[in-house]
Formats: sequence, structure tokens, C-alpha cells
Amino acid sequence: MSFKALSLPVILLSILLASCSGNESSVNTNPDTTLNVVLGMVHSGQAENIEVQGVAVGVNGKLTLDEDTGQLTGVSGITDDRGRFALGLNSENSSAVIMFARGSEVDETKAISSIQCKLPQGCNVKQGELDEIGEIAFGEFYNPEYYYDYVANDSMDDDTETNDEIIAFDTTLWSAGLEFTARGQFININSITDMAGAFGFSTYINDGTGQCDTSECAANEQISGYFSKYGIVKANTQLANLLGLSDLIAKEPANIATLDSISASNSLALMESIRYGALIAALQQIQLNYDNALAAKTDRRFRRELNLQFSQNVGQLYQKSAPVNQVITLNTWFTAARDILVAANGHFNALGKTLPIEVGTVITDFNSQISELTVGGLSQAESNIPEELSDSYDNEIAYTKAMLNHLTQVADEFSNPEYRNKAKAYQQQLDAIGNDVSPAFNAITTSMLDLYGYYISCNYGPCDSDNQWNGYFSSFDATSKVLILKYSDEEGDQLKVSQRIVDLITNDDNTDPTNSLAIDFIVEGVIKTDDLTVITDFSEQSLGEASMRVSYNIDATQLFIDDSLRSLNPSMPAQEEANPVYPVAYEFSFTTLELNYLPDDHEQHVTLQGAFSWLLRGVRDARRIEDLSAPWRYNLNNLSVVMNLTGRDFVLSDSETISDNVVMSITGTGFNTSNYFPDTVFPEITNYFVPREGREIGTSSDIALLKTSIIDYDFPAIDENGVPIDGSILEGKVQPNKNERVKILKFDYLHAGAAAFVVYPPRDDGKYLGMICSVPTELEEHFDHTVVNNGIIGNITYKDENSDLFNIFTCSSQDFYEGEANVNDFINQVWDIEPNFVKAINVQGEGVYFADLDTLNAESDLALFSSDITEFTGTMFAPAMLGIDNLRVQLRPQLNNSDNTGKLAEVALDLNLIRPTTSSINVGLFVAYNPEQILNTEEGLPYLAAGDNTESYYIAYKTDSQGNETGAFIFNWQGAQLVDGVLQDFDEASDEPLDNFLFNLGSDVFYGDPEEGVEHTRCGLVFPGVVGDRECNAIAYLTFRGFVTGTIREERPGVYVARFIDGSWQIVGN
Amino acid sequence: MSLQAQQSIYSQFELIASSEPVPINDMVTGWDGSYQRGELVFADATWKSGFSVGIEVEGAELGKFHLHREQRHYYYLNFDKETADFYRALELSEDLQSDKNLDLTIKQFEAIGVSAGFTSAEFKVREFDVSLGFDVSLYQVGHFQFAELNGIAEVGDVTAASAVINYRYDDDKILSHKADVDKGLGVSFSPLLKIKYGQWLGELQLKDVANRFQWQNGAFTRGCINIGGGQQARCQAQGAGEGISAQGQINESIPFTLNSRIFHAGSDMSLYGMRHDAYYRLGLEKGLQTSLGRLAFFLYYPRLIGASWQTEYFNFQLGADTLNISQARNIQLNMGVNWHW
Repeated sequence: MSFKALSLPVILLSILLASCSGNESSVNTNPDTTLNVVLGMVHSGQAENIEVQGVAVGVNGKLTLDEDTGQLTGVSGITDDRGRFALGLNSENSSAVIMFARGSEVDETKAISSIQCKLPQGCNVKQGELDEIGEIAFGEFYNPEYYYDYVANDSMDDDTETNDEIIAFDTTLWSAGLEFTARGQFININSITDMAGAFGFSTYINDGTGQCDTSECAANEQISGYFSKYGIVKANTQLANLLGLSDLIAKEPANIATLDSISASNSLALMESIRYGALIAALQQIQLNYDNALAAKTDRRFRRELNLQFSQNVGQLYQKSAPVNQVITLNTWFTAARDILVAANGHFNALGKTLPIEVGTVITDFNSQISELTVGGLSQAESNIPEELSDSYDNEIAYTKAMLNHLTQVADEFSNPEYRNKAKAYQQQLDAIGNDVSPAFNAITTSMLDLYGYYISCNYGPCDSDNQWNGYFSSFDATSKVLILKYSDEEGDQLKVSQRIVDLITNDDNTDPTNSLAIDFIVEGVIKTDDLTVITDFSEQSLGEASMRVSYNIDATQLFIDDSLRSLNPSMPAQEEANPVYPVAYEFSFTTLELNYLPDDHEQHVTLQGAFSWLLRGVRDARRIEDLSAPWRYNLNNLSVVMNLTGRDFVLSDSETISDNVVMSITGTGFNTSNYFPDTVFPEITNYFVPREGREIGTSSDIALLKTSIIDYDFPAIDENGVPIDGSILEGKVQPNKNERVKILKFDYLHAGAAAFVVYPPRDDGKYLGMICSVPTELEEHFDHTVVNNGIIGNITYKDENSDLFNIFTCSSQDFYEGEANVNDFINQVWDIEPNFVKAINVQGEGVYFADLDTLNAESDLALFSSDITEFTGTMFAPAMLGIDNLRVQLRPQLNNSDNTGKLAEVALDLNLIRPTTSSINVGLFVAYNPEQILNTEEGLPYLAAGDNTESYYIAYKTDSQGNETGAFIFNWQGAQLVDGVLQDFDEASDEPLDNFLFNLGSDVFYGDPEEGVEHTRCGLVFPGVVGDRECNAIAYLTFRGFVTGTIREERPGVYVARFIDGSWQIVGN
Repeated sequence: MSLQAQQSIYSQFELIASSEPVPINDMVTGWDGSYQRGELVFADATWKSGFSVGIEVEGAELGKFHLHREQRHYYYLNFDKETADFYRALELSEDLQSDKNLDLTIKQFEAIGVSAGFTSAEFKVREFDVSLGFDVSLYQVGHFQFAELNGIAEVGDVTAASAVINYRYDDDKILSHKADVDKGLGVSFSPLLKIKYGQWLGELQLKDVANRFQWQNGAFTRGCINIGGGQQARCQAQGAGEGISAQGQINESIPFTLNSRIFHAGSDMSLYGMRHDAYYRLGLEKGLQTSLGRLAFFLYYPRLIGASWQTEYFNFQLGADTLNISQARNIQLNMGVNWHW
């Protein structure tokens, strides 16, 4: 056990490089008692079947994403025919929420959602296949247009084959930012709140117009990507002030289409509602006019243009005749709103209806305001930010700087002097304990294997007299195979060694089988060496015997001679068979172990009590799988240690002694160790979490990993949807006359099953069905394209002797494709979509290779595959890790202070490491001092400690399938103070209020698209410094109590610069 | 009024570059070559193309008007000699043997512009023939850097230094402040005086005597860099440095350039003088009329020697302090064509 992982430079390095996903929680989609039900309206009402979703802003100012899909996640609902919705948000989540309103359409061909025309003169809307403008009457509905990316019909003909092909579309219509949500809160989502929502991204830098003094400048321009409560409030209030409204979110806008029936509590509220509704309607008109003038659908992005320009104008609009191109000015907007109200008045008057007098007042107000607009000038609207939020804005920056400075010094003092001393004491003592304990565990293993060899020698001849255990020999009963070793004549001071045939079949009556696939090697009593005493069952209840279960792949009546151990243990007799029997597994089990060990420089024994087990799995070399004489090697498959370590006693008084005490739990597993072939016969500690030697990235497999061929096969006939027709399969067999002779491009992987790229004959419309299927290793021999019966080629199922029926093919994808119905066309279409899918080969025990397939046109196409069997080597892409790749270490040390007069503060340490390949890592490290309560993530890993004077650090780092990396550093310090910009530890003599410093440093490391011929250096933790063809972009972001306060980037090689939202910067480190 | 007099169209490239501490080439590629203590680097390159036209009024020549498009690259560094020592040691990763004062001023911009000017016809002032002229240039300025740095590097590890920086730019070359800066505007006024007396001609030009460059949203960084700055640290910073970066209106100016010449027509000898802030030079030129045009040789202090060739329509002038141009510290290059009728 090494505690060097805790060393502070590593922590600091991790901070600088690390990143985070770190969203503590998302909006809960499960209704429960903690729900805040909020109500709202989309588009001033009458927007039907609009999906509304509330997405929480995480602690890093980012929207909550689903970890699996990468899509926004949060509770959602659908508007009713009045455009209203109700959602249950999680009241325990105090984070900001961004509300989204989207069309419910699942694809671009089916219109479900509709919005109302608010324009008295009617709405001119482009719709339909021909994209023709049609008029929608006032109050009637139309399907909103979304954002399209598409391939245009360049020939402009009517051929459906060359119609515009929409390749992507986004149904998002509008958003709204909420700094918090309260039960029963009313929420508008419309084109105006969308402007504010876009502007509400966190403020980041000064754009040159912010006020500066000698030391700082006010930040007033956003860098998109981060939301903060401050930014949301600023945006909502500033836009409301700009438009003459008191509240964009909570005030209900009037529906112009039903203006005759509007009501409000008072005249002022009515006027505001009318004004709000008119402005929304005006935006509808301006948008339609703008977008209708554009032929290409991809250009019709009025809302995005508007939001972009509004943000670029720092939340202002040009009043009149903008000097730069703008999609809207206040003049055009107010004028349109006024004209709509005038037209509405005329419309309803013509119907004999009278509108409220407030409509006229709003028109008058618009006229007055329009006349005061100046040419070329920007508006001067200001925001209303509550004092506490404004103070918080300034304070959080100061706190963040203090925390960052504190962290930069952590390498020298973790964290303040008092803790530094404690940490040093801890590290020294934990190192000492680790140094003491490690040999003891090694000694157990060595002793057990040595004893095992000696015992086997007794079974197959005279006991080896050269073995050290022979000095304690007392008796060996060849019949019962019981060996007795006696250390002295004292009762119980002996070791009994025996073997037992294991009853693996527990569902029969035979509890005493004569043979089995497993034999237990059992030790009872005491194992003694010079400095080590192992009591195999210290419990009074005799919970279990210590044993080593040896498993074989043939039935055994006793323990075999173990050839794998001969190189390590000369007592082990030699096997005479040509193909020795190798155990397939060793499983050590000490259920109630007590271990007394005398460290080299200690006078008193260290005692450990607990349980200890581990499994060594035998593996064969995949490259010599046909060679039965090839030696086996053993991987550590899993490990479990739960121990209570007690050090020597120190006398404090006549009645009191203290001793070091450590409770530790270690669990580790290997993802797929059964096929890993390690470098040594038995595992060494240095084998784990490292790629195998000679299997570095870019190395060649040297041998063929893939054999390809093109074969005929009979699959069931299908209908127009690709579904097998009735009767085409009976009892797992394809039936004659209801079969289709398909072509299969067979990918036969080295000892890893096969893939089948299946192509059906073309249909009448020229399309063909293509399927991607896999065949598992155990069924691969049945993937045989010989005629089986009735002229049918090959089987699609296999029936074993237990009458179980297995599908040979597992097909993950099928679709109809255009093009020539042959396997080369098909695999090239797959290649265009995801080449890695085609060329990746997972060779267990070695890693993922990319097959060296022949390509054409700068790797954009695959060369034609031949019908003949063709072999391909591979190039290593992601080396596998040896043995255990999933480890969890938990420690709760309660150690004496340096002079052994009292206890150090309690410490909790938790390390979780998952690293199946060198290119993927998921690590979490948690350290806490004085924890009173520890909070866990959703995965059950600790990340935060609470208590009066607690300090905790949490580092998490992980990669995704694209090679991008995210991480988080969370630091919580309760009971500290910020004095003159410097963090200080809790001072009992001080009356200053204590503070809680919850600081989060997260980062993203992501890589751009491959650039041919360009060299970029990787910048993440995985393969750092390696040159690749994708540009690395890394950013760390700083948040304080959930408020994004700055970023860190490597702005020059080795120079990390923190830039804060007030424009100040700081070079991290000294 | 008649605008018809002598007219010309012309294109002219002018370059003067001087680097005291290291060869000009090393200023770009690194200070690891030849080194001598120095305190300035200056380069001013202009390529202008335009036309000029003589202006006559009722047969009386008033002068010449010219208008040309101009592309200009200006670069001026002025620093303490100890700063050069420091930078040299930094480049070679050598320890400092003594404290080094860090004092640096940078002025650099790239611009395109339009210049208009007028040179009067000679007129009599007592027995002297005098003419006056001026140039007004309007620039659109692209990349720019203006900075001052003051600090100290103490004896020992060269990487330990402290300095206060005030840096204005469009593209941050020190750190990587992400700023979106619009092009700036500049204006410059340069008067000219010519006095002729017999065979003697005196010329005096004050180039950029009044100038101003302005960016509405220029980027700037102010702060302190303190990397183990020691006891004499010029400023204190959290971490290795701290400060503020933002954008705002930035106004800058550059030093004027005084160009003077005394020419004796009979001997075809010229005496040149030039000063640009701390940079100055003196030169002597002897011309010879040949059948192929005027051939001249010139010698300048600081070290520069060269020759020029001039015909009615073409001119070419090249001078340097060494034949190995890559090692040159002083370079002068002029070439152009002037088509007139």
C-alpha cells in the first residue's frame, strides 16, 4: 500500500490539469414530495404540443447533460391547447434552471406542434414541400419552422430522389433563464425571454466599455457556455427595462388574438400585459418577414441572429438606423408592435367588439417612445441586480482568488501550518505502516505457496527434506492426506494441512463427491515464520478455515502436481505428462485472519485482523492457443482486503494506553482477466495499471488478427420493412422457398468471435437491406457456410445437448441502403459513418487494435474485399491494462500524534481507480480531515466532508469514448476565514465569523477533428505530450459556491493563466 | 487655374532597419548568435504607390501635389543595456552575474494608409530659394503592440525576475488574452522645408511630427510578473504574476523622425543626418554622373556602407554593415520607379 498518491505535488498537478463533469444533481424526473410545481405559458399562449423542459444549471455553470447520450436532461412536459404547462422541478435543487420550449416533432416530416398567428393582418408562412408562402389568418395556427441543415435540391426539379435532404434539424424554439424556481411560480417562455436567455450566459470579460479603474475593469461581455445566477438576473432585468416591462418571466403577456377578452387586476398590469403581448407579436412579424425573404432554409435563423446581435451589443439594441447590419432595432420593433395594436383595434372594432382603453394608452406610449429614439445610438438599458447577488459577485471572485492562491501553496503546506504538521505526521506514519504491512502480506503469499509445494511433495513421494517446513514435520497420513506440522509441544502450536474435494454441484444429494473440478488446500492453526505469525482463525466462533482453492479444467480426485509453481518452488515434483495439468485458478481465502508481524526496526509486533482473499486466474497465451504444452500464467482477478491494523501500545497513564489504528478496505477487480496474458507466471505489484510491454500504441500485432472472406448464406426472406416473413424460420431453421441467399463479408477475429456484414439482394426500388451482426467466440465454429439441409446454406441457430437454442448471429443494426447490393458497397457505407467500428479489433489481454485494412482516396474508401480468405495485421490503438484495472482503497486511520501523547485528527481517504486501457481512466480521490459527515456522489463515492472544522479535497478525472477528458476538484473548508484576501484556519480566539469555502475547479480537455498533416500535442492526462492530428483544447473553470468565476488555460507552454470574470488574471504557480 | 504641369506616377519601397544588440535576423529567430550590448532596435518600412501632379495658376507654378497609397511596418524597441544582457542570458539559459535593470519600451504597428501632400514651388526669401511642403497620412492600423516594462532581474537564476508591464495590443504575444480588436485609425503630419542657396541645398523633414493612433476597443494588459523576484522585486503578485486584461480605447503615438540633408551640387556631395528618438545616424554621400545615370556611394555612422543608382525613372539604393546580410545590424534599402511626363 503506497500513500504517495496523496503527495501534494500530484494533487497540485491534478488540479492544474484536471477537469470535471461534477454536476451534483440534475432535475429530478421522479415526482416526489420535494417537487416544486411551476406553471407557465409559451409564446403568449395558444402554442400547442410544445415540449417544455427545465434543465438545471450545474455547479460549473453548465447545463445538465445525460451522461450516456450527451443530451440535455431535465423534467419535461407538453403544453396544452392554450399553450400552458406545469412542471415538477426538484425543490432541493437551488441551482438556476434554463427552460426550453421545443417542437414535439420526432422528425422533420411530421408536424405536431403549432403556434398561433398573433398578427391581425395574418401571417405569411413558408410551409410545405414546395416551401411556398401561405397566409395564416389572425388567431389561426401554423407549424413553426425549425433550424435546418440540409442538402439543397440543386437541380430544382420535382424528382423526389433529389428533393432537399434534411440532414439535421433542431426544434428548439425559445428558452428562458430562471435564477431560481419557487413553488407555483409562473414562467413565460417566448421569443423575448429567449433573447434574455441567450444573453444570460455568464459574463466573462471586459469588452472595452466596462468601467476600469487602476486595478480592475468591470466585466461586461459574455463568453458563451456558462450560466450563472448573476448573468441570468442581469439579462432578464436589463431586457425588461429596455422594453419597458417590469418582469419578463412572471408577468403574463396578453394574447393579441384574444385581446377583446383580456383582464388584469389593475390598469397598470393590463397595460404591461398588452405591451408585452404586442412586442411578442411584433417579433413574430419581424421574424416571418426576415425568414420569408430567404430562399435557403439554412439561412432562416432570425432568432439566432437576433440573439447573437443582442449579446454582441451587450444586451442593448440600436434605437434607430443601426450603423451596422442588424435584424432589428427598437424603432422597427416598437413600430411593429404599435401597428399590430392599431390593427387589432380595428379588427375587433369591425367585429363590434371594444378593446380596453389601455390598448390606446399603450399605443400612445409606443408613439412617444418611437419619437424619442435617436439614429445610430444604442439603447442604454440597465439591469436591476439585487444587492446580495451583486455583493456575492464581487465576493466570490475574491474568494476564488484566495482559494486559488491557497491551492497554489498546497504543495508546500497542505493546507495551513497546523494541518501541514498533521499531514506530515500522517504521511510518515502511514508510510511506516505501509512499509511494515506490505512484507507481511507478501510473506503470507510466499509462505502459502511454499507450504503448498511442500505438501504436494508429501502427496507424490517423500516430503521434500530441503524445504524449511520439513523442520516442523510431525506426520503425514497418505490415506487422508493430512499433514501435521508442530512448532512446539504446546497444545495448538501446530499447523494442520489437508485437502478436500469440493462439492461444486450443490443441487444434488451427493455432498461428498469423489472427484471435482476444484480441490481445496486447507490450513488450520498457525503459520509461523521468523517474524510472522498468522493465526488462520482468530475468531472464537471459528468462522471459517483458511484455504486455497485450486481449480482445474478436468475432474480431479486430489491436488495435481503444479507445473506452474515448479520454477518458483523446488519442492514441487515434476509432472511426467507431455501436456501438464495447469490449474485454471487459485483462490486464497482467509476469512478471519490475524497477523502478527515484527517490523524490522520495531520492538513490538504490529497486529492486523480481518479478512483477506484474492483470486488468481490462469490464462493461456492467445497467440499459442493451439499449443497444449504452452505454460499457463496467472492474473490477479480480484482482491479483497478488510483489515484493522493496530500498532504498539503507548502508555498515557496507569489506566490508559493508545495505539495507532487503521481501518482499511481494499477491493480490486480485473475487467476481463481471464484472457489477459501477463508477463510473469504470478502477478507482481508492478504489473497492474500498466500496458503490457511491447504493446504500446502504434506497435504492430505482427500476426494476423483478422481474416476476411465473402461467403453465401441463407437468411430468412423479409418483407418490405426488413422483417422475416411468416414461416421463414421454423425451430431455428431457415425454411426452403422462404429463404434469401445473402452475401456476407465475414470478419473472423483472432480468438474473439466474428462479425458479419450481411447484404440482401436488392428490392424492386433498388435499395438493399444491410445488416451488421456479430458471432460470439463460443458459436463461431457453427458460423459455417456449408449446405446443411434442403439446399439451405448455413445455420442461423445452434442447438446444444442441453436442448438450449442459441442464435448464432446477434445483429445490432439493419437498414435499407441505396447503391449496389454488394458487401463492398455496404461496408464502405458503414466506413463512411464510423471507420473505427469497422477496423477496431479487441484482442483480449492486449488491447484494441486497428486492422491494417487497405484503403483508397486518402482513407476515405476501403479497398475492395476479395472472396478469398485474406489476412490483416493490426496496429495497437488502446493497450489493455494487466490484471486488476478497477481498484477501490478506503482508509480511516486514527493515528497517534508525533509524540504519542494523543490522537491526530481523524482522516478519511478513499481512492477509486478504473483504468481498463491506457486511453481510458476514471479516478476519484477523496481526502478529508475531521470529517463529521461525508457526502457521496450518485455512484456512491465520497466527494464532500461536512463538520465544524473540516477540510476535504476531492479529485475526479475521467475520459469518454471520444478521448475527451473531464475532471473536477472540489475543496470544502468549513471553519475558515478570509482575512485580507488570505485564507486562514479557524482561530478559536477570534470572534470573526467562520465561513464555508466550497470551491470547485473543473476542466474539459477535448480534441478537435483530425487534421491531415498537422501535428498537435495532446494536453490531457491520457497520453500527454504525444503528437496527434487533433488539436487539443483544454479549459479549467473555477466556481465558487456554484458561481462561475473564472477559467484557467495554458496560454503559453507550461504557463497556466487564471482569468477571472472581472477581467483580472493571474499566473498559477510560482 | 491649370492643373497641367509635370505629372508622375510612382511606386517606392523604403526600408531602414537597425538593431544594436544582435543582427536583425536574430531579432526574429532568437538572441543566440552574435551579441553586443545595445539599447535599441528600429525598423521602418514603407511601400507607397501613387501619383503627383504639378499645379500651375496662369502659368505660375504653385507646387506639387501628391497622393499615394501606403503600406507601413513600424517597429521600435528602446531598452536598457542591462535588459539586453538579461534577454541574452535568458536565451542562453545562463545565470546572471549581477542584478539587471529591466526597462523596455515597445512600439510596433502594421498599417495601410493614404497620404496626401503638397510641396510648394520655390520662392525667394531674401537671397534664399525656399520651398515648403507637408504630408498628411491617414492609416488603418492592423496588428499593433505598444508596451512598457519596468523591473529587475536579480543576480543568479535568469528566470527569476519581476517587472511591471503595461501592454496594449490586438493580439496578445505575452499571454493569450482572447480579445477581438477592430482595426484602429491613425493620422500623421510630416512637414518639409527646403532652402537653396547657390549650389547649396538644405532639406529638413520632420516625419510624424504630429501623430496619433487610436483603437476604440484595443486590448490591454497591465500587471506584475514576479517569478522569484527576490528581495528587490519590483512588484508583488499572487502566483507568478497577476494583473488585469480588458479592452478599451487606446491612444498611442510614435516618436517623430528628423531627416536632414545638406547637398552641394557642384561636388555632388551630401551630408545626411537623421534622428528618431534614441536612434540617430550621420551619413556622407558622393555622387557621380555616368552614362547610365547617377551612381553614388554613401557611408553612415552607425556602421553602414552602400551604393545607389538613379536614372530618370528608376532608383535603387542598398547599404548594410556587412556583406553577409543575415548578420547585418544596419540595413538601408530603397527602390522605386517614377514615371513622369
